[in-house]
Amino acid sequence: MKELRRPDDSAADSNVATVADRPFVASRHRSVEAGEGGAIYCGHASNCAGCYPPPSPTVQKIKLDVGIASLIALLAVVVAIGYVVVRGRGDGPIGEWGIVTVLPWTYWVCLAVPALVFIRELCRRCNPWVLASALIGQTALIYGSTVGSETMPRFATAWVHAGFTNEILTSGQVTTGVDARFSWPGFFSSAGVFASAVGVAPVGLLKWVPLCIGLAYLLPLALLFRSLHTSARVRWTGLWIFSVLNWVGQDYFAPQSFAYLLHLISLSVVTAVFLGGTRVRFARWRLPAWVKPLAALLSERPPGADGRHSHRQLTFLVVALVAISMAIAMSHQLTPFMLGSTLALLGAAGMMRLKLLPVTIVMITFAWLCYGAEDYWIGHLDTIFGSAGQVTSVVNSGVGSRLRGSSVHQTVVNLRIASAASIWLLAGVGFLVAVRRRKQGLIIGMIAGAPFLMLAVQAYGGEGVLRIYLFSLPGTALLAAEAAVMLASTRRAMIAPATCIALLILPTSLVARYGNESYERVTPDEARAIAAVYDLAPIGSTLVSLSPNLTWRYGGLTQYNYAPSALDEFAIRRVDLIISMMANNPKGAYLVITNGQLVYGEQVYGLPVGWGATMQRDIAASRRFAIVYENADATIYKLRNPVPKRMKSSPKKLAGAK
Amino acid sequence: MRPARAAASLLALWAIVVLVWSISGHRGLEGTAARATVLGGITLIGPGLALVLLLRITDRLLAAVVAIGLSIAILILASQASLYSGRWSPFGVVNFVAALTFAVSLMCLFRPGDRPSLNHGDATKP
Repeated sequence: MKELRRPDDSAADSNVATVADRPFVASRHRSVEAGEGGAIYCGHASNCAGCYPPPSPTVQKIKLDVGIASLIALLAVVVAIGYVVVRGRGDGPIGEWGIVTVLPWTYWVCLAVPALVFIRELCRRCNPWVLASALIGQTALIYGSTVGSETMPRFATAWVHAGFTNEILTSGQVTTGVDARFSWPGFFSSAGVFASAVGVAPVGLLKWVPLCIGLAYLLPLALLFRSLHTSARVRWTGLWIFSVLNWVGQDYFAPQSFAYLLHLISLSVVTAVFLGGTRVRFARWRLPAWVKPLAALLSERPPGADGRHSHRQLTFLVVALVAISMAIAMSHQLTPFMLGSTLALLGAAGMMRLKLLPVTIVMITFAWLCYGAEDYWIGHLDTIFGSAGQVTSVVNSGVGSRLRGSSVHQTVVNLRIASAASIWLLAGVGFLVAVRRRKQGLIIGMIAGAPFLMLAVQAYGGEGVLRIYLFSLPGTALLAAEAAVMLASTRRAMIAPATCIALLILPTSLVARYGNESYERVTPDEARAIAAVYDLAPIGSTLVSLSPNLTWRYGGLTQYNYAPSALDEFAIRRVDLIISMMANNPKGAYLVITNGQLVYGEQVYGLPVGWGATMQRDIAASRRFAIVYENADATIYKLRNPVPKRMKSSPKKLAGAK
Repeated sequence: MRPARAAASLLALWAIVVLVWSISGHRGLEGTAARATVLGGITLIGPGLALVLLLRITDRLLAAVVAIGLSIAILILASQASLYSGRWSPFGVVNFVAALTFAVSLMCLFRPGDRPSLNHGDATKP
């Protein structure tokens, strides 16, 4: 039997239940059946007033175990069915709303089952095995909508990262100057080691990485939430919110996905072990009246410092945190600053005992900038710090610039903004509730709020706002869970609407997450065409793509001259500009056009439907391109030498000569 | 046998399998689940788990999180050292990780605190 504690109890023990953990729905005495040895029991708790004599603990345990095992088996079957029914669906035509347009109704049923099991268990016993299985099943099905339905790994950038890894594997050195990401090669080199260990090419890792990463996030998050909240119900709700609303799409084969995992691990270890320490003393200070409530919050002794760990263990954990920080600093440019700023905020507020850890992280980061990333930052200081203090431009580059393209694409972007605004609003309510109840609300608020400091520093290539959402999501998910559980537990009648909202969030989340799937997926024909490019094009030739979402550069990263994408020129029908760009190379030049690129032009650039056909007519009319490869999804053109003037008048002769 | 000692024994055995595999130049079973589990798995969890067992962190969730985080960090740091030292060798890194796992597991198995005391009587007292 769990010990009941008051909600404001600070102990973060998973075996301790709070009043908030009591079942939402009081179980009624429904049926009476014959139990072991003729005993009459109803399957309820041993102190159930309706049962006499009470069932033996063995019978109760067996019944409970069978129930749990059958629920877990049901979830496993549902996940398997979900993967089977979507198989191959993503390889055909995909509508403007993304992957949701090709998913069958059976998938939606499968997707709803883990959510219903999760909510049912949340309202009753909060059994960790059932909740964990439902959460894993939910996450697996969400990722399964693409991983299970598409034959090829999705997302062009992941293929480029596989190319970086391949380059390190083959050359054994970092080719700086090719791309800024090579200045932080920690992820690529370790991925190369892992790929060699498994015995596959780096491209072979791409497909299952998002699912593995999505599941791996849950482990440190469980530790983080356990350290920050006493109510199991709030913690599990927070995990569900995180897994469903993590639509940012930074969980593919990329440095940021692994750095984010390490960020979560560092944060969870710090909150699990090193929270507490010195409290800020304001008693002797004369403070204005409006500051006093905040000062009172800061003066409270934070939990932690429970003496559960020996000095040797603490030293080991500090060394582990420093090692993880070094790994982050070598792998990704943004994550160390996010981690450092969050820990610095906690340290400055007296919530954390390791005051020097943020300083160490900053020192390690700058040391790597000076050693490993020197080639990048010399000459790019304006890019790095140019947007410092320009909050409006950072927001505009992250939000405003994305609100363009087709009307459906704009709706998808608006849906993302609305979902972010909703979660932040709910988290705001949760913050007020948590602070009022003294439930470490301030610490969670700091973890949620620290990433917003980035608004004042960096636009991060227009992705700053997305990264802020991602890095604040652990804190906002827990605060939103606090508010959601509070609202749902006010009345029994609230459970049904809350369940409906949860079920509605699932398809919305899929649209927000995979709304760009019509041009972010990779079809088998497209992959075959790119392989053909590398077979046809001699080394040193120029390769031109229509738009950035092309799955190449996974091979021959430094052996070809990859020109910038030519969508701007094609959009204004200036084929001559493309020809002049390609004609400089005596080794030849190739232009690759895929259906995904044409859809990208329609949806993101807002070009008219059928613009691809017009463009291909322009290409044919120029008489400078020859088709060297073609399939249902892609066409490869080779630039040929100018047609002599005497031949221009008789194209039939030219065709005959060919 | 205590669970921690049993886990350390299995971990040491796992590392031995990887080190023996290295004699054949890590050839065979390319791309299979068996190879991914044995060779890939040890790089993602081996050294961290051994260190966690050595330090006797009893909180399972914390131990799992630290084991994964530390193993990934060691993998990244070792591969970076291999890359920047000019002696790039992916299998060298795998062998290093396996050797580290093996060494720490052995330390875990033979640490003084866990050995059964032979001095049952109070022989030191007169």
